[in-house]
Amino acid sequence: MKIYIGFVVAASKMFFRRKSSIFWTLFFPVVIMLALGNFSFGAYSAPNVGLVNNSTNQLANNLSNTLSQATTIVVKELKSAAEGDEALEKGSVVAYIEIPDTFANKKNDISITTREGDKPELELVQNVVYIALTNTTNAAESINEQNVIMTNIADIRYQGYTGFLVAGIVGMAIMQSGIFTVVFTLLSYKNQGVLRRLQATPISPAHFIVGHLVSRVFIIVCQTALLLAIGAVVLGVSIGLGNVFAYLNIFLMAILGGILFLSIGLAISSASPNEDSAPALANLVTFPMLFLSGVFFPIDYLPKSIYYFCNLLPLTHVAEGIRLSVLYGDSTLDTLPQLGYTFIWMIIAFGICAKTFKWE
Amino acid sequence: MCSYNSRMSIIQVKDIKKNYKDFEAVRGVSFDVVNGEVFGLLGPNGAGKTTIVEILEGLRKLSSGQAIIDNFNVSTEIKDIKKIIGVQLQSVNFFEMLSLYEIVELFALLYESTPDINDVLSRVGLLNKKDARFKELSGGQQQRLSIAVALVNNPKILFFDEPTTGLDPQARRNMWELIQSFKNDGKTIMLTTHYMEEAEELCDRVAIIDEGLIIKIGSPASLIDELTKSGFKSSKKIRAATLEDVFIQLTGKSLRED
Repeated sequence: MKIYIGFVVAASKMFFRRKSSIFWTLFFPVVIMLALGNFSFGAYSAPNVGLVNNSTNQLANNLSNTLSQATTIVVKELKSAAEGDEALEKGSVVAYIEIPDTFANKKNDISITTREGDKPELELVQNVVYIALTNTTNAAESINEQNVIMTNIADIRYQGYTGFLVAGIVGMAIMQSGIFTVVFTLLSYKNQGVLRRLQATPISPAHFIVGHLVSRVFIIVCQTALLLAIGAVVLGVSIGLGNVFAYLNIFLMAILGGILFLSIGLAISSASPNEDSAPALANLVTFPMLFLSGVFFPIDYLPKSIYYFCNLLPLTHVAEGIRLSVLYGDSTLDTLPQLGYTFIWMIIAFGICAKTFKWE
Repeated sequence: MCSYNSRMSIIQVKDIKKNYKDFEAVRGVSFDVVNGEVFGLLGPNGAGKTTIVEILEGLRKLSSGQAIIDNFNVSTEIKDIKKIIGVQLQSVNFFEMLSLYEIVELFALLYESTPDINDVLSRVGLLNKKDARFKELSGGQQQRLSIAVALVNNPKILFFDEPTTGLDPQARRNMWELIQSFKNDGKTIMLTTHYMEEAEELCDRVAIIDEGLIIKIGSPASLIDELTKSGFKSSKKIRAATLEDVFIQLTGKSLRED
């Protein structure tokens, strides 16, 4: 046990003394997160607005058609207010309009539901509805009254692309730190004969592997905490909706994911025939996952075949599990599928790493 | 002179072979090392010295034959052997982000040994460098750190693989004194070198190796006697001093790196 602790302490000291490793694990993901997180992708197109038409009368249908022709919003037909709430939460609409079943010329009672903080969108939708009503009913006088268009602020907090991204970057950082920090450290140990010297001591490879895994997992947990803190403070993302179990689950994912990618990193450095091929191999493994694991954009809209491939990748599940906890406050039980996939991948990767480890 | 038979041999090597695919690096080598002696493996580069030493250190597996160190079998009880030997490898580096003190401390921990780290460093003359990093050391200092690390478990047997290669005359003589001091402590030392004056200075017995085979074993004096008795005459004039003596006299014996 003392030997394990000794390795953990020594490996951590060495890590924090190397400026480049601090740059790549702590500074670099933060910069990417801040750069992309402040970039508002949604602002360049007409916002999606849901439309729930509960009425079957002609007037309501006319209004519905007029709204659909509006150019400043994109109308998406929804079946119910519940579906509208869900769409708000996911961010697929900025607001939804509900036409009541009692909709009539004099008594409109149209409601617009939106989220807190979506004031510009609310005003836009109000204007569109007002104009549509005027055009359809030709009864502007009847809708001048305040109660004609009701506005609701739903208790839904949509975290936007920023929320999506923060969770994705946390997953990406776990992968990058896991793979790249061990690949390069181990290769330099190997080339300089440090591992050979360790082989001459009575320790087993397990001491060395586990010692390094633990020290790096600790660093990955710190990195996760740092990224989430910056996401919350600087980018205003609400992390885990205040659910303690969601926080715990994020760190559980970070630990499992950390061991998973560290093992892949160790296996890569064992499998590399020489120093030049290791970075190439590491990039070959990480690059597809950067773009196909839902780090920067959702994979749901990708073609089916690619989508299935994405689901085979370990980072997909690590990122998704973290995202569910970050955005929706899901705890361990809610993310069992993601944890399960991550765990299976972790066992496979650790097995390969233990089998292929070589001192020289 | 030859009281070796009366003393216990601590290393017994019997007909060991090592093949790398088609290449036979060691082709059936046998020798014994007696407790407390300095035993040298001499030979040109590529003769198989390092391979033999690395087999005894547990870094390479035997292809055939048997080697026993302090009653432990190299093939089956290497972990027990590693605990009682100290190893200085040829061209080795240490963790570059740790200080010398931390490196020695870490290695002591790996042997579950608790030496006074300052004592270990002062033994090899590196106490004043305890906070330095390995990369900041001169060649001689790096070699001495390597020896300090070999001492952390207070080993019975020390393996030194070309400990003076690449060192200047001052550093080399300093290393000789250090090795001599370990012998005086009663440690058994196995040393590889391709410097004959080094073997003559340090070794009680030497084995001369070429192309994976031992050609001759004996004390340096007996091997020289044997040669001269056979009628050999050196073409070199024997002088009372060597050029290295002149160099040391002129530049002083003290180490230059500190």
